[in-house]
Amino acid sequence: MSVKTLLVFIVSVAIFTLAATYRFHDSAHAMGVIKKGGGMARHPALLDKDRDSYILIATAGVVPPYQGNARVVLEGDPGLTATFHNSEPVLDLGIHRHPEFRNNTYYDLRPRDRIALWVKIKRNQVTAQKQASTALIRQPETTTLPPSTQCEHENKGAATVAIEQNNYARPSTNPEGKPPESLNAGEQEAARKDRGQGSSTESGSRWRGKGSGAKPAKGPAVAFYDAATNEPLLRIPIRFTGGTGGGVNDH
Amino acid sequence: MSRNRTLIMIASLLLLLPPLAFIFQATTGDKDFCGTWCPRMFYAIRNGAGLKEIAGGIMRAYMGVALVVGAIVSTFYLGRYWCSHLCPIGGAGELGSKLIPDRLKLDYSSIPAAPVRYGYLGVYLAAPLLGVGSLCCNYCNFAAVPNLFGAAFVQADMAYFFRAYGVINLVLFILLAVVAKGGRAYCNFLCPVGALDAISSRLGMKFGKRVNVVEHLCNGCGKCTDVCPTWAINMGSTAKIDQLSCMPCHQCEKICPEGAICYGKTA
Repeated sequence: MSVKTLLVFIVSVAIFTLAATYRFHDSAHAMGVIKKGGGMARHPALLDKDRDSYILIATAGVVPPYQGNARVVLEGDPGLTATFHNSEPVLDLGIHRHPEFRNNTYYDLRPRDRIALWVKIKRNQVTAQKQASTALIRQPETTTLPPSTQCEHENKGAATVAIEQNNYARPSTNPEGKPPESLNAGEQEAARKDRGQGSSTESGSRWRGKGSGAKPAKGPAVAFYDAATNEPLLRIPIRFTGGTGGGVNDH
Repeated sequence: MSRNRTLIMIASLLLLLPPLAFIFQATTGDKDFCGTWCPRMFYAIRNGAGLKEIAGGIMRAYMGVALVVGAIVSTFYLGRYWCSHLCPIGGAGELGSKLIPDRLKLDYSSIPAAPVRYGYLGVYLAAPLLGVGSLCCNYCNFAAVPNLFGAAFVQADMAYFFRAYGVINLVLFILLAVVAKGGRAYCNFLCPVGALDAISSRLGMKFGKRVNVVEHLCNGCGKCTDVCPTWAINMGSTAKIDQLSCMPCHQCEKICPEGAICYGKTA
């Protein structure tokens, strides 16, 4: 074996090891089962919190006896929007049956069917940042105003959205990117909420219409529900990683 | 068969890639190599995987297993016909490279192929086993090329290229196949199926048919090295064929003015 061959081999191993260990978290693949009563994914989809768009590939098999139409939604974070694309043959020769997918719903799923769904997720960055900025700027002001003059719905809604957004996106800094130490009192309060340390009743679940209970909000997830009964069929949690707090809530 | 190689490659593209993907639809109902036909994942064994999990992986991709085993066995006796004639992924690269003017092509022949290929295969097998990561799926020609063919028709296939790995796989395919001289650098460097196939080719060279050089007829003109898409021919005083890289494309056989290269049993 020549020295050149040996060197090329060693360099190749080094490059390919690096390639194998490095992960681009703008996409993730999650495998799960669609099951009556609620199937689970094998693991959550891990995505990098600092990106504006992501691809999630969800593959799943249908466990008997489930049969029906399954609606797919991205839930748990209003700052994210998703478009769903079913992976299907370009020209369906009709030899094998494939469940039809339209209007974000799989029609006529049958036991042992397999589905592959590509979910394009986008972060509503402009809206979310605007809302977050508005919330953080107005927050001290709203506490000083008498309740009757507060635009409660708007401000709380905006703050809640900002909090929810920041739970996943920027847990340790405000929208301007300041470190926590340099924030003023109002901003620090918001940052504490961002990290889930706040004791505010604005727990983040209000926007879902679940009231303002103490139970923390669930994180974002791609979820499958039976179109007729709304029974959960599969939930694929999405976890945003890459910083303190990580954007992880309970799953 | 050698005369009709281009036609066979085109037929393979039509039968195995979108929009038709006939073989997949007619057999298992899959739409591409991802799933039952995956020829890569079943031997990328994860750290801590038990026999049950390994068997499960083989069962999940049973058509891919059959494909790889069939390719390896046929290669042992006949040479790498799967790679040279039938593989739609390698074929797509080679046919694509025929559309590119020669002056724009990149020549990788100064890089020894075997150490890169077996460096890749070693990491491909060892990284998941050691739990340090994986090259499987993320860098996959068997996923990228069918998605490329389907992207014009299906949004899910298009979505593949909206992520870092999709872009990387596309760039690798373009640089190592479409604009590569011969169109087979990807096969030569980064294909684990090709790497396993090449081992079978080397091991079976005493038993089966291969492309050989009749040394006393060879005048060392070097025309064969210029046309070899896998740079498998080393030119000394006579040509020598490396069976670890040779695919029986028969380009060398056609161009040899002395008739010194032929396909048959090794003498």
